Amino acid sequence: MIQEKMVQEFIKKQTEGWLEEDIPLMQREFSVKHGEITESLSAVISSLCRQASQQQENGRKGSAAYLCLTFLRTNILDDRWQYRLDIYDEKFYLDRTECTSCWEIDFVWDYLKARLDQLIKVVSSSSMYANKVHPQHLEQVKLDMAQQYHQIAMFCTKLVIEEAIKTPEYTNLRKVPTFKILMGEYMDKSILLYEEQSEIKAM
Amino acid sequence: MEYFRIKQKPEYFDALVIPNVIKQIDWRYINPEEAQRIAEITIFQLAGKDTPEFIDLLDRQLFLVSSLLKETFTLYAPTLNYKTVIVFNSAQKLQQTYHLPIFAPIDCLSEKSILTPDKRGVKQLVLKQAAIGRNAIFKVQHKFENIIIVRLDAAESILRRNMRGIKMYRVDLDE
Repeated sequence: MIQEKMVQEFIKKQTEGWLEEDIPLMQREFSVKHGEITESLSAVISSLCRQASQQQENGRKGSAAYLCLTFLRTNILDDRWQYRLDIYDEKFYLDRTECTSCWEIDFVWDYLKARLDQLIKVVSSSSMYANKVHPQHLEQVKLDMAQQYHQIAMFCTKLVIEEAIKTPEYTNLRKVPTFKILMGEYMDKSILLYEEQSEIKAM
Repeated sequence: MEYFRIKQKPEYFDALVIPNVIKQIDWRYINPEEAQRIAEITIFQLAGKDTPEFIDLLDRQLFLVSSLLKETFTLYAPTLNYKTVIVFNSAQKLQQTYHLPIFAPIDCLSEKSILTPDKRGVKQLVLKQAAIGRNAIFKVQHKFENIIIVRLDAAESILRRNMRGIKMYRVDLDE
């Protein structure tokens, strides 16, 4: 138990300030790579919209009502640094026709990956903790920190989403007037990124 | 949809091992038809002075889940029944409740799965998508192995709750 406490202290000390130090770097990279990120998101959204349009033509999906970007812990644990995108119709989560794709937002995860690698190096080089820190501790760190970095990813996505949906595929997709784009957990808490208000615009 | 095989994390070396659990609870009765032969509550005494780690999932002998994991399972499989297993150590004044879910196995193992040479174990699991249906948590029909599968939404829900000792393995699907 004492050993466990020591490990927790050690990890806390090591992971302290990761986010605070990385935010300015990410901001700088974001302003440089702004166009690239928008393009990659835009490409994913257009292919997803194409898929949804096809399903609509076949009558398997109703008018699109939600586009969800989700952060998956299962992906993070498998070292797949991807977001999952889903398009649902008005039935939302009860819409059983799967329309999904994935998006890699590397500029956030690269920093986290570098940090995790650094942590592993520190652990293996320290004579005191090398055999006390177990893989499950590192896994926990990965999940906890990924959640924090995910917040940054959400803000960045919010900034680029309006640019990213300016594609013909998105415009051609049959949508309900209150089409929403959400981002967050899979089938859980999410934040609103963008809302289509075509009825207001039409007036 | 993606599916995951849920297992006990091998890294917990001092995880709880219940002595003689398979002698008291016969694994052949763990199915809805014969479950009445298993006692509602089974109590086990732990010997020794060490405190084992009461992790949330045990599958070395029987597939046992903690109360927290049971609650999560209930969200996704509300009709699932459980038997209760209590472990205690009077010397250490420890007590922990585990639950034994009684799954109705689903025949969804694909022929593409790679089996061990003696055909008792599954090396690489491949499931038939069509046979799964809308089940979020289920057991794959297999003679020897206890294969419990959770759907992506249930898996995320479990991971979100910060439980200990659970590992998810991605499962391949046969279209």
